[in-house]
Amino acid sequence: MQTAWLLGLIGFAGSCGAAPYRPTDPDLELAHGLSPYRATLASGASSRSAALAEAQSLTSEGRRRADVRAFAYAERVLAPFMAHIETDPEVALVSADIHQYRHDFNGAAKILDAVLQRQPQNDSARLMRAEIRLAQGRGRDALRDCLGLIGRQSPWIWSACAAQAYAINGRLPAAQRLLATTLQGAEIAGPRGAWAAGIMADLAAQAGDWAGSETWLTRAVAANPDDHVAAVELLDLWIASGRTRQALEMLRDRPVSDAYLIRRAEALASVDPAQSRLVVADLSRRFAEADALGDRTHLRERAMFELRFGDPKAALAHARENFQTQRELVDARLVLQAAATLRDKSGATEVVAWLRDTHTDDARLAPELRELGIKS
Amino acid sequence: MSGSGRRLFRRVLGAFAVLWVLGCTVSQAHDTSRSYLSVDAAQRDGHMTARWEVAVIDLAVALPLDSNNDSRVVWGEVLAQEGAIESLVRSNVQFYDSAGPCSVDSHPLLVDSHGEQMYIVAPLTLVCNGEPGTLGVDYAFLRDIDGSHRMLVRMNDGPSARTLVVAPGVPREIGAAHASTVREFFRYLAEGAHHIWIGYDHLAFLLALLLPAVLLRGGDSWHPIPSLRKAILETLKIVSAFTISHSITLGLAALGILRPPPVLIEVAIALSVAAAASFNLLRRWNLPGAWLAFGFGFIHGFGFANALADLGLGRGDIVVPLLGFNLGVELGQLVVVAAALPVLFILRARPAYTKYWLPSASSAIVVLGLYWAVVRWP
Repeated sequence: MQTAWLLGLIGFAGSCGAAPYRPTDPDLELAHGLSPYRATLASGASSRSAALAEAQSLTSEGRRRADVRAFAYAERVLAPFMAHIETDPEVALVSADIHQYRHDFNGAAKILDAVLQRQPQNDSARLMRAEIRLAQGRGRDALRDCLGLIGRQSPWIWSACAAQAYAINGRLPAAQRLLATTLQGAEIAGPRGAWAAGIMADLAAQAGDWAGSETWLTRAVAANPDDHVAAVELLDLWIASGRTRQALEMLRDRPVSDAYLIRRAEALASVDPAQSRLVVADLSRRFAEADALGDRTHLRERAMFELRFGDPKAALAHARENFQTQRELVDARLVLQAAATLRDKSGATEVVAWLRDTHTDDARLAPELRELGIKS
Repeated sequence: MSGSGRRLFRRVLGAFAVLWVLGCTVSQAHDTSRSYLSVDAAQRDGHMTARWEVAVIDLAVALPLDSNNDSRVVWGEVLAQEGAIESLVRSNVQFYDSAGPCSVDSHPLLVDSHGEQMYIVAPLTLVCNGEPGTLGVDYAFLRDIDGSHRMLVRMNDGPSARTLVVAPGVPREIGAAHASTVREFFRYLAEGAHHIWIGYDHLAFLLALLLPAVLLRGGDSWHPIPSLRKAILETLKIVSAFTISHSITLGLAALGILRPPPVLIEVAIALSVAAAASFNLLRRWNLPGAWLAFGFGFIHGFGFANALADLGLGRGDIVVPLLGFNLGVELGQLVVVAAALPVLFILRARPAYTKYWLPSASSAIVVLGLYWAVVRWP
């Protein structure tokens, strides 16, 4: 039964559309926007510093393209130097970055703990650990690290970091004030500006200020079109308010990823249902293959997909499993949405306990909490 | 709406400054790299047909496909590299069976799409001279470049078809169902036994339960069990209870019905080790070892499931691996029991056993269990 299900979905040729063919047009495009990985890898780093630079370049490019392959290449490039990870903080940082990108947050945090034990002044490690703790919903731990950056890094860095931590520590107004003060009159440009603007947008949405959130998201995407987090948030806003054509325009030339495909399927649902069904079928294939490969890093998108196009029971199961690893507000919301759809209050227990423990308030969660009869 | 996680990464800028550039989560990433192999194992005139499909973007990392460096790959560029691609296929997707390497004929390349990604398809004809059902593949594509690359294999074997996951650098039997099922079973049997022997926490747990299995509790004190037969019976009860409960949770987790977070299970296993040993120290408690084994076995079953998942088990073809792995676990623990029980039985009659050895060994296991719980805590 399991095998049949899997075989039906996994994308072997002939199982999902047209049969393989031999093109007649030599100009037929098979891939575009090709990454420079081959050139980077072909340079063949022989020394530690060359390998480090190569690995950093790969993770940077991979992050820009939202391409996990680059992180695997970087891992291989660094492999000969991993034996010295305990005494080489630079190698350790790239390694931690690879771990966290693959959602191995504990593995990444362990590496960073070791770095900070040897070098308490390593701000890079401290900020990365703070971000990991934020992803894990450990606001208090994150805040300690964020505050440790005061006076050592620019106010943009520590205030953006601390604002996120305050926001999941029951101090949303303080978070907004802190970051707004820092950004007042500043130019929002480049990845750093987009990062801070994206956080402002999140804080605004958390407070229920949708218009403010959209303004900040627009600024974030303008400052850095490769800020995929902000882009996806903006798409969600547009789709929710019926601006599907605007969303589809933005989705053109975005990387092929679960997050973007889900938004594409949603946006197409009203304008081209047949095309939307094809995208849904592709997502089903991708998730079936992830299952076959034992890949559990897609749980957030899996839950989102099931909630919007599939089975709410599966959505709740995936959302709850995801919440064990990732505890951002979007992850909490997914659990609540699935539980509310199923009218299953017990399914939301963990999230509710986490919200109470952290005193987190979020306007986006209020409708589901109300539906479940839970006082926020 | 997507969340607030905006993980960062670092670039060195000058001698002192760090520039933080925002990133995005892996959940927005491309899929991990994968290729597809489908094999039609039904032989015709001693031939089998197969088809290997590789993503153009992966092939472009291994070969200089983009000859004009315009960041695009067109069919004409693939045609120019057709010979090199065929050589790459020959050296990276090698077939063998019980008679040795199979000969492989390649045919003109084709293209196909998986979702929005284009793949190059290499149709192959295999000639293998060994026993039917012994086909294996030695896969090496991207072995030295991408550690997460995998090949998804579909075996069409007459009326049945199944999927397998193959990692580069690990030769894998993919042959016909009946023959490979037996091999697959023994492979997982060995993995199960191996997991027990290298799983110090499971061993410590078993030892904590076995230490008093050669004793009888009379009021506040221990007495040696009178016969070996009774000691074996007591041990069998413990092992059977442990087996029943861990098999239930192992099955539930492997089938995807119940899957608690691995990190919590690891901590719970460590605490179960400490708890099981601490019962040996509490004089007033007289809880039979079989009940302890039964109760805590549920937790250990989830741990076994995590180990099984680490072997790359997907959602397909689960019965044989599950059965093999579980029996391997039983076999592994029986070997441990068979080695430990005679020694404990001989030692049990010595006054020092109940006075010093049982409490000190139990205390050490309690400490060890608590230590594991602390270091495993996220």
